[in-house]
Amino acid sequence: MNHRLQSLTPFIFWFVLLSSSLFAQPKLSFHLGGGFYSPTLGMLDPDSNNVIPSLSAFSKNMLIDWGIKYQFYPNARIGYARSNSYHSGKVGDSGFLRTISYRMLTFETFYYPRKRMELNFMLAPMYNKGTVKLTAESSSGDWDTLLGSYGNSSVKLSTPSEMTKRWFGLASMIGFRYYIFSWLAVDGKAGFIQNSYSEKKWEWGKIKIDGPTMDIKKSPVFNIHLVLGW
Amino acid sequence: MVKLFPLLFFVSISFGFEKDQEAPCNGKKIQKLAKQEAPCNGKKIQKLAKQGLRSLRISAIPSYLVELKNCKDKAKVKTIKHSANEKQLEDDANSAKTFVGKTSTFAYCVMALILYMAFA
Repeated sequence: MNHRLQSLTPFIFWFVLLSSSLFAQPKLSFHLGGGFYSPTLGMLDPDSNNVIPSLSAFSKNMLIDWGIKYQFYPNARIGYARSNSYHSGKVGDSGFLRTISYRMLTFETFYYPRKRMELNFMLAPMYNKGTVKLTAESSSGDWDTLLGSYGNSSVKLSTPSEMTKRWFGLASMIGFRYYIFSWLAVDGKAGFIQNSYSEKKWEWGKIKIDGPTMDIKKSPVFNIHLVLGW
Repeated sequence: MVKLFPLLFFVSISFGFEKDQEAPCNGKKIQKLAKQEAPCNGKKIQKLAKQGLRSLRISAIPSYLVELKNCKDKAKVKTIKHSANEKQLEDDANSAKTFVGKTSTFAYCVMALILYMAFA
């Protein structure tokens, strides 16, 4: 009985969330856009670490943003937003992918100085995540033997593995939003993100290791978003 | 028979009048026009015109779009969309025009933090 209730809980949660969104009148908005910042990616860029593949401006300075916000008061919104930075390439024969996700729980207040124009002020506690992933292609002798016994020739196996690190932060931003329609707006934001990042205690499987020495303690950020909302 | 003639004449005239009076109101062209205009004054459209775009629930949006699609008068569709949009923008601007209390305190905190970050 208890197990059945547990398995039903996610279903009930999503049903309530979806039905309340459809049949109530929520002031939901979604945003999609990009950001610009200038972190010092110590040991994660080819200048400081010759193992790392070449780094473009997109991988170093650009962020891909998305998020969802709910207006719970005439002047205030709460929401979840993510800014992601990606860097991919090759390390030896393996595929390399570095991701930094700035994950924010946003609190935003705003007002309209004029019709269509909105000034907004945002504070967002963050729980960020850094991931370095290597996808190595190797042949396994044992698998070769086993699969060969079934008549297969040499098989290439893919063994993904990654190192991860999570840390807290705080984002503070001031933005200006212009409504093209009441359901479509362009939003620009400027501010800072603070991170409590340390290169210690990255996780690689269950092993604690040292990671890259990124300097992202205090970074100015500029964002531009397209906002769709009802 | 001759006595019935005035009666027949009167009946034919009265029916004739009835036909003449109703014909302009139920003419094929008018019926067609009325058919075209009915979806332009649908319930959802009327609600939107009075209360703005966000007065509709998300689940009611498809039926609003259907009403708009059925409205053949394209100029009227454009006007409906424009007025609903403007009404909503005005309502939003009015509801968040004042910035007092906790929300403004929050804004001052954000500004103070950004200034501190910029100059510290």
